[in-house]
Amino acid sequence: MTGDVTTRASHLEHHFHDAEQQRGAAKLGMWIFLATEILFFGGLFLAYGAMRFFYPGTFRAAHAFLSVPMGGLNTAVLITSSLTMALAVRAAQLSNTRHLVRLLLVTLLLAGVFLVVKYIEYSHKFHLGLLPGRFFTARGIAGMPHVFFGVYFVMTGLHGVHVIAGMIIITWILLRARQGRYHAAYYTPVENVGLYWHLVDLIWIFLFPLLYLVK
Amino acid sequence: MSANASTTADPQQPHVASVASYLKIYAALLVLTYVTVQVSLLDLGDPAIYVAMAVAIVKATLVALYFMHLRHDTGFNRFVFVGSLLFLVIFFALTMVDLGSRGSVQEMQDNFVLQQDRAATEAATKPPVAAPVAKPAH
Repeated sequence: MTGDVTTRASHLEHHFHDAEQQRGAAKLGMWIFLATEILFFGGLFLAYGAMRFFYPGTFRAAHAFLSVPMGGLNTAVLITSSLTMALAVRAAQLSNTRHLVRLLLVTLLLAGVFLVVKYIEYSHKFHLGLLPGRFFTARGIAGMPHVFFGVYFVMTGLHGVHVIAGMIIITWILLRARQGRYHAAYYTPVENVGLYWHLVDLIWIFLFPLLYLVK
Repeated sequence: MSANASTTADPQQPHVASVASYLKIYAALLVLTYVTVQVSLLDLGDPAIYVAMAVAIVKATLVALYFMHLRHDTGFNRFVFVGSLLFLVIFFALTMVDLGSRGSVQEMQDNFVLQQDRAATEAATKPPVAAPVAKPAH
């Protein structure tokens, strides 16, 4: 028993039997968190569904004011960042710190590109007065366009907050990866940040067609 | 699937997928994005949302299975993910059924009220008719 204690790896917390149990517990915790995120966004997707059900004409008219090229570009950017994140986890699995750091940097950069595109879109909407609720000042859209833009800004805004949170935690593991802390025997933080990042991508996969494409 | 899961979900040896397999999934995701944009230009009308959601579900499945490694993960992590989706389906289905059927319930209620009202009006305006008295059977 005492022999066990002396040979324990530095990354293994004392309350776990072995590294594999620790990794499994951390991943399960992450998946449960992701499940709450799915339900959290689910409420907004349902709000979208209800509003679309009530005002189908408005949604058809108002969605034309979103830029499909911009949304499409951001979809491609997020999917690419998901790929680089998946490859970063792979680099960690193979103890390749150099690749891990580079791939995390590229992921971070792509997340930044996503936000820049989003900023351009948002400032255009602000300029036209295509804003939620009582802030809506644009003219020429029939029905209740302020409801559509309410749904649009809350859904993409909350998604944007998740992108920013993702950038913060990617920066965190990037700094630790540079110190060589992650390797084949221990890469759980990289894996869990990766799972979070893929979920952000997953939500955008549904947001893009629902808001930008579907007439 | 379940037999496969017990052999592939070996927690002792985390699955390391090849770079080529990730690139294939990436290419599929980009192609599907292109497809969904092109389909939206066709102006399909009402079915458009079903086509768009079908493509999005395929994309989401690819991300979950391969990028998020659910294909090689433990059954319990898969259960957590699928479980959350199941509750989402319940949440959506019950709410949409409610929203979709409110009109018809209202109509039924209106008709009922109308009939009651009509009966009451008729009773008030028509001269009283001698109600048939049930005769006791001999």
